[in-house]
Amino acid sequence: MTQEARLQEVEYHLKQENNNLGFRMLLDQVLDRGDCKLFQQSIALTEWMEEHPNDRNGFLSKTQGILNELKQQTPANETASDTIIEAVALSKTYGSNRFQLGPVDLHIRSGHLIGLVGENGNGKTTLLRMLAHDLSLSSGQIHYRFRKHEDDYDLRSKLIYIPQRTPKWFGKVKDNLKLTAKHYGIPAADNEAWVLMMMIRFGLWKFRNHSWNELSSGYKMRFELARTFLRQPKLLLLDEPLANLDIVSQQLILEDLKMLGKRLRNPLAIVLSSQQLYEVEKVSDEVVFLKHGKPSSFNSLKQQEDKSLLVVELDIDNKREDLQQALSSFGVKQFNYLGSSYYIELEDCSMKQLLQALATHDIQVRYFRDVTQSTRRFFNS
Amino acid sequence: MKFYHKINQYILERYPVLWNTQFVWISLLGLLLHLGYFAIGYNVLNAERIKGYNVNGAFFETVFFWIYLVICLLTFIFMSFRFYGHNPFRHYYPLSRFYFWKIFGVLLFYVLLFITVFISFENGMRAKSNRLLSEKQFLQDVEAVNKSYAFLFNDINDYYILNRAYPAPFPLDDISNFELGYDTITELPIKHGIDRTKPFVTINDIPFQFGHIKTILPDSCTTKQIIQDIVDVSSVYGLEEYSLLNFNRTYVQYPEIGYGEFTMRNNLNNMGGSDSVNRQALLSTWHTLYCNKDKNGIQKILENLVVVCNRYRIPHQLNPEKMTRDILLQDLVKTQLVRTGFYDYHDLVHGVANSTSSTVNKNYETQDKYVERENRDDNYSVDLEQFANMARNRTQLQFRIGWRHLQANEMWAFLFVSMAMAMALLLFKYVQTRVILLGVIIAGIIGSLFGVLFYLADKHIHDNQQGHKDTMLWFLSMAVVVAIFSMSLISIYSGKIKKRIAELGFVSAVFSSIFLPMLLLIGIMLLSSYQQKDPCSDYMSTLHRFEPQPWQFAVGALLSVQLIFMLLRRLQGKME
Repeated sequence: MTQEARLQEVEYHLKQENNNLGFRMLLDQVLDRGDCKLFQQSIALTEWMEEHPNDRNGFLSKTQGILNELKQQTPANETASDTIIEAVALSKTYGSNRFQLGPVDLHIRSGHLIGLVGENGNGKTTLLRMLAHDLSLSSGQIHYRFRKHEDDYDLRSKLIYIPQRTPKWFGKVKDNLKLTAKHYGIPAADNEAWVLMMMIRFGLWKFRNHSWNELSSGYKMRFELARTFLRQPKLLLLDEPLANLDIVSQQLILEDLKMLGKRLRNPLAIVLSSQQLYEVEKVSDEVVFLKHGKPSSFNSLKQQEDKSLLVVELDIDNKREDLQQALSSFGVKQFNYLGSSYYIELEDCSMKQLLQALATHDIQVRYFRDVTQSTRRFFNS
Repeated sequence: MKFYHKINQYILERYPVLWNTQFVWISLLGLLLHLGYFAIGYNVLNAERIKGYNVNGAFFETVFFWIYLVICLLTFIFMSFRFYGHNPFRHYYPLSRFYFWKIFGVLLFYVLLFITVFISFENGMRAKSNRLLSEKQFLQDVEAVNKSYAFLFNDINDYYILNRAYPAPFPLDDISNFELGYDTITELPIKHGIDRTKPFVTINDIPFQFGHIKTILPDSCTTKQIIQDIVDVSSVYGLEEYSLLNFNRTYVQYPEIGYGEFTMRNNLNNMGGSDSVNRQALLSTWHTLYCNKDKNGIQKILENLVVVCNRYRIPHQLNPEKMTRDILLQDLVKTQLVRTGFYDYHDLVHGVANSTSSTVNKNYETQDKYVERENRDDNYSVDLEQFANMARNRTQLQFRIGWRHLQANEMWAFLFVSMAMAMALLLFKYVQTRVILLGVIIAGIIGSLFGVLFYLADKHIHDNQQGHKDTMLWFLSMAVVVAIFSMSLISIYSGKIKKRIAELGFVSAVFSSIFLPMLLLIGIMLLSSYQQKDPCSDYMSTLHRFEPQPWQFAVGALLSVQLIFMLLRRLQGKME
């Protein structure tokens, strides 16, 4: 998407009163320019918003001012979405007859988000750590395309791995971010502006004077992300980042990751593991499913998949027999009750036909999801 | 608070290392501590204490030392919270090539800043002593005390030939001079043409015979010694008599450390601060005063002593007139009638300076040379220890403690200890405690094994040549250290060895990299050594063409530090 289109999108969301989303997208555009003057304007706007939470007109006119400034500026150069990491036949073996991960082949491109899903103990964390150059490989190779003549330490400074349990930090949130910014070469004069921008972007503004241990788990994850984006890494590896978050925070963080990963300036490749299948699938460019250490790329599977297959998850108030009766006219490939819902694979059945059948047989549906295009299916195979 | 916050933010944005180590605040605290302890040192010393107090180590014997310790501890805890909390290295932040050096420099500065607080305390005392004792006056007073000292008879042996200072042209400036008593003379064989049954003097291991010294020439053992003057002491007056010509003691030496009695060096011109006083001339003056029965001269000297005592409120019971009369009545060779007493020298050295009073000659009936005279009023006393304490304290404050002394004597030791402490602090920040503890245990085991190996080798190397033995033991040490170092390097640099394993060898790598330059320097010294045989005996002496200097060890230590930093970075980048 070009910069112009992005700005139009911001305007659209603001017009539609999607203030939060519009404002976040606006901030992304400002961050893409890296112009401290615009940063200052955005910070001033945030302060103003804090004082005038209900003044929508004022908000719109001020955001419009920033938008106009953005339009006048030369657009940031769009970076090509190149492969930055190529993993070939990665494998890791623990013990002689214990668990083996792989072989895994991965092509990670900048600006892409790869979701890593699978049941517990299938090697998601292992794979992430191998990609982060944190865990040695039993076999295979990882080619970091951006690597020049750096030593391992320098390489790791460009690969960011955020474990499920985020590291502990001491002191103020802002101070920690400033320290990060300084280490990553942000000049002293711009340090404050960059840090505040990141705090605004990740919703940490109101915690700017708080210490790290006063943050909740969700905000700690946001802090990690703010810290990460100040570092402008090539690759971000997140291990179960949604584990401790409420549903709203999960969605917000996933949206942010997607948006920020695809920034024009310094696009970022992201690999994240999660159990939140549907949320991850929604934002991922590719989903890799791991089972018993073996990967399946759902994207490639989708292409080979029989188009006539419909897979759904549903929960009903009726008896099992009623549901079976309703589906009897379709070719039922799989019918499993998983404790809380039914997992059903139907052949030669469209969504419309299924819904009609359920309605006809007066099936009381409490939960329904089409998982035809979801890795959810792998969990049952 | 706003100012504090502003400063902190300014430093954080520009100098993260300084922010992380709380440089401004800790330096400020350190400076305040120095100022505070300067003031305390200044106030601790007063006109009375300077006479009885031992300034040497005074800092460590007061309650202020414990207060200082608590402050240091609290400062360390305060710094640790931030220093150990923010660790860019552990989070793989890109770090400049000099990052570790910066941290190391700051920590070294802290350590030096805090461990040198006692110097400010001593400087405070020095400032006070300069105020209490004016240099010019005090030197004159020292001279007055020393001049009078020859007449404050204490021990008849002080006037014996063994203490004689020899006249020019003896090459006495930097020689070791000793004479043999009659008891030992007979035990020694006649060597080098010297008849040791007769009086002789040995200067720089060259014996000179009194009386006919002209006939003795340096022999083959002393070919390196160029003797330009032939010494004839045969004409020395009263060579074997008790005489004031032999008096070689000074009560207070200056500017060298001086308190209590000291034997003057034979060529010592300095009789107490004034270079203009020539000892030979002084001895001659004493001798002349005594021989000529110069009552006024002696009385004047004793009166000057009384003036000094009164000036510093030193307790005394001196009567110059009566003392002079008694001095002139005695026969120095046979009897010693006038005495002043001294307290135990040991007490004096240990800073116990009580008033001195001794009744002279009354309890020495068993000793022939102290003949008691009936009805004498000779209870003269002077508490010269108090003056000696003053002089000692003053001399110590001027020359033996404080920056000047540190620079001259212990600077390297301070530097090495500080470097070790700074390195320990740094490693605790960058290496996990678990790794350090395990590493120390492993290093301890390796060290113990090496100790056993060294002991066995030392026991079994049959070599009478000490130099060879040292070299062999050095080779053994070097081999062990190089082996440990190489293994550590391999474990850290090899891609096949996991981080967890490599970490265990890190502490050993640190130790071995510290020892490596030291061993290398010692090795160069040993390899550059040669042996020289004494032409007059079988004794082989070992000489070195190269002797390591402290600065060379310092350079070696800095190289070790660089090596440790490299290993640390490599280890951190390693995969598990």
